[in-house]
Amino acid sequence: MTESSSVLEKDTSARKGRVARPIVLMIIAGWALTVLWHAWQLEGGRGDEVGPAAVPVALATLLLLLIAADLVRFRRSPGSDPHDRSHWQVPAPLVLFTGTVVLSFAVMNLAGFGLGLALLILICAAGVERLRPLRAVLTTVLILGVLYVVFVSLLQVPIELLPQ
Amino acid sequence: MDFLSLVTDGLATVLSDPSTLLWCLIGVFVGTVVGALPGVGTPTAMAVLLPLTFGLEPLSALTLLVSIYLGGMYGGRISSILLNIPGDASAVVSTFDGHPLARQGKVGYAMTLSAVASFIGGIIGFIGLAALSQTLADVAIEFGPAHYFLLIVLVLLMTSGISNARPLRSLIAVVLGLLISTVGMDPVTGDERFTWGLIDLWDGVPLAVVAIGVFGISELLMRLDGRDEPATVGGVQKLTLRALFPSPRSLARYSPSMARGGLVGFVIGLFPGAGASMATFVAYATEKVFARDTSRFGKGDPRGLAAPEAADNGSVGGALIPTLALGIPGSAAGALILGGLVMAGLQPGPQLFTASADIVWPLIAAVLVANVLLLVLNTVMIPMFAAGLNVVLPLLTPVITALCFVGVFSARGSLFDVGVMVLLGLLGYGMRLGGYPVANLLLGVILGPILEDNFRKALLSSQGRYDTFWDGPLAIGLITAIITAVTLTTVFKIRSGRSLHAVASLRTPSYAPDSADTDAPAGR
Repeated sequence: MTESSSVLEKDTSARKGRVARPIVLMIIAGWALTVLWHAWQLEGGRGDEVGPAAVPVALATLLLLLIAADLVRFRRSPGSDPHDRSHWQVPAPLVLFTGTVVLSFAVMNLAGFGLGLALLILICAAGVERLRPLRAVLTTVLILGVLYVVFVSLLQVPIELLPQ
Repeated sequence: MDFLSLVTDGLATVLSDPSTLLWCLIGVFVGTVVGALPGVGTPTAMAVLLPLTFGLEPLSALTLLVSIYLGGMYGGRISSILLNIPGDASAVVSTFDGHPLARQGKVGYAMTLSAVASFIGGIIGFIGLAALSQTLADVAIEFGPAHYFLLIVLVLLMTSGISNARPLRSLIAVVLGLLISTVGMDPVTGDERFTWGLIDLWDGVPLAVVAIGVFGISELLMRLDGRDEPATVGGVQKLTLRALFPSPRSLARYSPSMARGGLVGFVIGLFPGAGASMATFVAYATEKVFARDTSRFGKGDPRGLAAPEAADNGSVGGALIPTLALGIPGSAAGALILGGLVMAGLQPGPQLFTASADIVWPLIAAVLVANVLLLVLNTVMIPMFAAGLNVVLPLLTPVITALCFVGVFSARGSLFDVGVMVLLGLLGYGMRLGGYPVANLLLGVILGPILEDNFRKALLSSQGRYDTFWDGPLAIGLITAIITAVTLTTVFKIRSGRSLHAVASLRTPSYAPDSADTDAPAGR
């Protein structure tokens, strides 16, 4: 790897980090707020009878304070403009993989876990790892076969392959 | 020396049980392969394979997890030496002198020397584990709920601070994990907490779902994002068996380095949050202190490879002591072993050594067996591993994806769990991009119920008096340890921040979450 490509990659990573950090913090903060709202309806407890809400409320409050502190630090850090998305292209394999996961999950719900899993492995092999079609099919069959032998035959873990 | 007879009995149990031996062999093989794959850490392998343990006997299940852990430690050095790409954080130091040795045409020598060093480190860790775990468990029996609460707080603070460049982000990950652990029915009152009326969440978010989501799925996303590009091993030389074996004289010459490294690793492994990565760096620095001539370090000095490798494996024994004796893991791998204990129906903590002695001593003995198997596997089979890396790498995405999905689905046959795993995987991916260590999140999820349970028990037994948390010498000792840990971490961060600032002033300012942010705590 040349020095310039290394610098470029690090810069891209830094940009992704800048965008991801506030988004992640907002998602976590949103969940912490729902926990607080939910906990409001639970018994907080007092004295020696610590209720089910006491610890979650303390944790959610602490989490919000930590997030606030991290956001302040983020705002003060150099190059922290979250709107700067220039030159950040989401890699095609990542998009394909995420789409495949969503599609396979839908197939699993409609046509059973087995079919959805086969589809997932096949697209991962052919699309993401770019194996030739025949090799991708063989890989799918091989992986499914090994998993079946290990989980169902050897470990006798019941797996519902068809929809219930 | 009571532990000797217990270990001997444990060894007899392991050696006389073919299924445990088989799972030990599978574990060390899988661990070595996964450890050798750049970017796929040992906790990821353990998390993805955790569901395999569902159908196993408790001893076989735990032996499998511990063997993967040990195998990962051995395997990490393979790509460090061959490719100059560390398999994970704790294998970074092995690149300093391991890869230069390989470039000098001493691939076989470097691989075998490091395997022997790993073995010696592993044996030192095993002896420490066998000798000290019972003692610590005996001491821990004196612990009340308040002490346990303080101890867990100490562990969480240490894992967030010591090995990490960004304690604030680690704390966020830990507290998020603790909060996730509160989802589900309250164990005391039976109230539904944060389930949104979903029956699937009544039992909380299963550990396997969290572990596989935040490690397995997020790892896949990171790889596909191009930040952890799969490496090729096309340049690996063909190795002959003859080239693999260093002379006995050479091994004897570097055995003091291995012994020092193993001891350093074991002691550092005892501390939550310090772990294998720190152990390898400290062992390397220690070796430089002991060496008369340091000019060869970084250019292929065998001491610079032997000591960190021994430390890497010595740290396993140290890290397993608090996990088994106190029921409190100090690393992600330890947390997964603790999860395996719970899933096997065992009660982690000091009682484990009395109530489940028939499991825990054979498990400790399995560490010795696994080390012996690994020594054989990592010397004789090195040429095969080098060739096998080329075959496995192009299939990583479908294999890991399939294991994640089947693993989670097999636990309860619930597609809801699969969906939660995917969501947690996306969260884990975002966290890793943003520099939030997902290992801390997992520690929070595992230690959360123990923390809350002990907090409530402490207040119940003291009739609501909060002074129970600072009453008595043990509590005061733990509070002192907490204050010391926080103070030292703060001072260390301020000092390292100043030096970083000095360096940064010479460079273009840039924000980049480093690997320490994402992979901490405790390396593994």
